[in-house]
Amino acid sequence: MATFENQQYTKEMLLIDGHRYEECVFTNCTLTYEGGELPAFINCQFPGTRVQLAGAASQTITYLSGLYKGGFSKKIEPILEGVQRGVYPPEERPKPPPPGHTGINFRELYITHAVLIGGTLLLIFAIWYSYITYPFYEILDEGQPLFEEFPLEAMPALPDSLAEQYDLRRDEQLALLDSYGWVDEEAQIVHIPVTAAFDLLIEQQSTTTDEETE
Amino acid sequence: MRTIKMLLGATLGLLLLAGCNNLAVQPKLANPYAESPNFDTAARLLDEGAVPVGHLNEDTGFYTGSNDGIIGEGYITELPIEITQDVLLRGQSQYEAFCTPCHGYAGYGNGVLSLEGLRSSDSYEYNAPASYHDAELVNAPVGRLYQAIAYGVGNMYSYSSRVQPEDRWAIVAYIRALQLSQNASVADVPAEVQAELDGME
Repeated sequence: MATFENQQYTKEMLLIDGHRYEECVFTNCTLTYEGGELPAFINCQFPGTRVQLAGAASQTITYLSGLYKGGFSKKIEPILEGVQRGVYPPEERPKPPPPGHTGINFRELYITHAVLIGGTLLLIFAIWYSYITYPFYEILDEGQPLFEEFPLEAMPALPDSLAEQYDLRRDEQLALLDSYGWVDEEAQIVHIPVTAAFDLLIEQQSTTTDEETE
Repeated sequence: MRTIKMLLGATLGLLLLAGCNNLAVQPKLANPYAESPNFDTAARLLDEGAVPVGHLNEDTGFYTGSNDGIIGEGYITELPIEITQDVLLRGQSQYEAFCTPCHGYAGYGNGVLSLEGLRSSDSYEYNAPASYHDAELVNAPVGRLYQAIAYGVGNMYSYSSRVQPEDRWAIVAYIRALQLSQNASVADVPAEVQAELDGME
């Protein structure tokens, strides 16, 4: 859609479908409307200008004319009166249908509801079925023990005194680190407390450092 | 309403289709170090002078226990840290936390897990933990002990994620103290204790 402002047209044939004219002067022109989008004229002047219909607009006139002459004059006259009155008054315009409540929309609404209700029922059924299949609790029979006894032969063969063995072994090892004693008497090798070994090690390091410094 | 539904459906469809990307046909580097017409290699190498963030580890010997940074070769022979009382105590606490279950408190390779391991040896090829007092480990360079902690050896896995490099060296220092403690000469024993030793069997 084009907009034309302050134009001067003289002896021209113009296709006006969908165009907007503001402050234009049409002098001895022919304005042709072909039944497309409505044109708009704002503060225009039309000296010697004629209007004609073509295309779909012309076909509409021919159709109405045929109906009028073919016995449907009473049907056509209100339309002609409407043409004479101007545009349709708002109260005579057909009202649009309320959205979602007519035709195919209404059917889709049924389908949506059916799917939602069906899905909910299915979910309820699944929960109920899982509940009866895997109950959260079990009702014990008369005399039934609360826990099944684990067969003894399937248990790992750990001695009852394992913790005592661990403690014994740890104490033996720690005693080696906290006392003097023979490791190999023939070779004159002894074990000494680890704290004494700390001092020896530090002393050895300082001796080595001193030698390197010298 | 119908148009909105159709648009919504089309949008969702397009989003789903966007995930249909065949990763198999995307270009890949067959060999990241292959020759490249643009650069030396297909994968870009670090620029000279690039500064690593967080893990510089410039002192190769300290962080790898090897002069060359190679596992199993070029062990360093001297502790890269100064041995102090604090270092040895730190090493002792770390040793007792991480090493005693297998190697035992005195380092003879007879920790409590060795009991369990020997018990289940029917179905598992069990290698007993090493004793630090064997001649091989007494004479081993400190770098070898460090690498055992850092990278693991035999059945022993790496403790690099649990023990920091400073603590690894502290443990190595403590192992040296353990070795000294269990392989001392009579001259290292105070005179008053020597008399008691003579009375022992």
